[in-house]
Amino acid sequence: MLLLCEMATAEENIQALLKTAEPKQREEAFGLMLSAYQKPIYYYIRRMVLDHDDADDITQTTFIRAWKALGQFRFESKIGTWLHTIAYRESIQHLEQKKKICRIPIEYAGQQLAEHLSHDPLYDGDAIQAKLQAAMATLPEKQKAVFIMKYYEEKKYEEIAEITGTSVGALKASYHHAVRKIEEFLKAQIQ
Amino acid sequence: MKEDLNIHDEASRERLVNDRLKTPDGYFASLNQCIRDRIAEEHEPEETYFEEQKQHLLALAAIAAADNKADEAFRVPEGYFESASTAMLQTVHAQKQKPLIRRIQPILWSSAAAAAAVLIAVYWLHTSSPEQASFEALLAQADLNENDLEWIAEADELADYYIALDENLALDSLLPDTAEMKVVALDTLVTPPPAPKAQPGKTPTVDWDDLTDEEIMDYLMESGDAEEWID
Repeated sequence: MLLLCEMATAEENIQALLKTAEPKQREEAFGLMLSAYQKPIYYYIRRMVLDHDDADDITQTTFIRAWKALGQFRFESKIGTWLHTIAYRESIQHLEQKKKICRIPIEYAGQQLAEHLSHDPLYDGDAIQAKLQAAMATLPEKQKAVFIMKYYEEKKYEEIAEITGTSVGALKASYHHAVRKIEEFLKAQIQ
Repeated sequence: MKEDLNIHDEASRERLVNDRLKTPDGYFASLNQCIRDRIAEEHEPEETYFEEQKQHLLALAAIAAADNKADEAFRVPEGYFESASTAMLQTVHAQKQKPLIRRIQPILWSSAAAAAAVLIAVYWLHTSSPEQASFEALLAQADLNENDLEWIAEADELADYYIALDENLALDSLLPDTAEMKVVALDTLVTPPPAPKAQPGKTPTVDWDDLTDEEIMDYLMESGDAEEWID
């Protein structure tokens, strides 16, 4: 609750600073953005790509893009939502590029990821949590992104729709499909 | 390993999402600094930037000077461009001033030539077509023998037969009420017998419908018209 209040305050402060449209205030707003959102953005990206180094690269790119586009921010959405939109696009782009390079069939992606996670010193999850990650690796990128935002971050469909640029109906259907696939994967693994 | 896990259950969700994604020590502090450094790098020009810009501008100036020299190599008489513009304007003006008939004269000539060519072609085709031979000439040329003449005669008979057949078919195809009218018309051809003269003291005239067939037959025999009606 405290965290939410802090975020709300940070959001207001950032927007107030940005509205002045002065370079110094803009830098100050960006500083606030970094301290308020770097962790949520990093973890969202990390859940998407899992590897810390990749997540680090994408997080930096996200904030640099945000800095460059800060002058064009139109105050139509929250700063947090806007940053999530950039992070979502960057993550999807990264995963698509990686898929093209690696060319691993989606049915083997989960298995490979489970092996990778068991050796990853920066992953501290038990076997069943790792299996959920493996199940998520079998999802298409956009479906995975929706699942993370809904299941892990408990975002509202309206906010996810704003981030992904999709309708709420399409998101609900996408989330439903994702849950069904994960359920089937987990049942097959546990039995 | 077998575990009762329901992805929809809140307790299971809590358990599933609590895996820790660890980061290296002091990562976020360094991330903050790293992003700031990268932004600063992107905005600070390289040490050689201004020197490169100067070289670039000098190169552009050299190209412009070379262009000017190239123009100088081809000299034109003094006042050429001014006089050329005036001449061009005059030509355009003169073109506009011409009467309509003179402006469309070339089009008229070509149209007339095309029409004449079409007329000549039509005339030539008409005159070169062979003349229609007369029936008598064709008959004289025909080499008819006895069989042909017989065949023609048979064909004439057949034609008569088919004409008669068509007429009968036309009569049969008349509507029923029309056929009745035809029957009525035939009845009218029969001359009704003269009504017996009324004689004083005798019974009044007998109606045609009251007579039997035999009585009618007797009447016809007496009048001598029976041959016409009895085959």
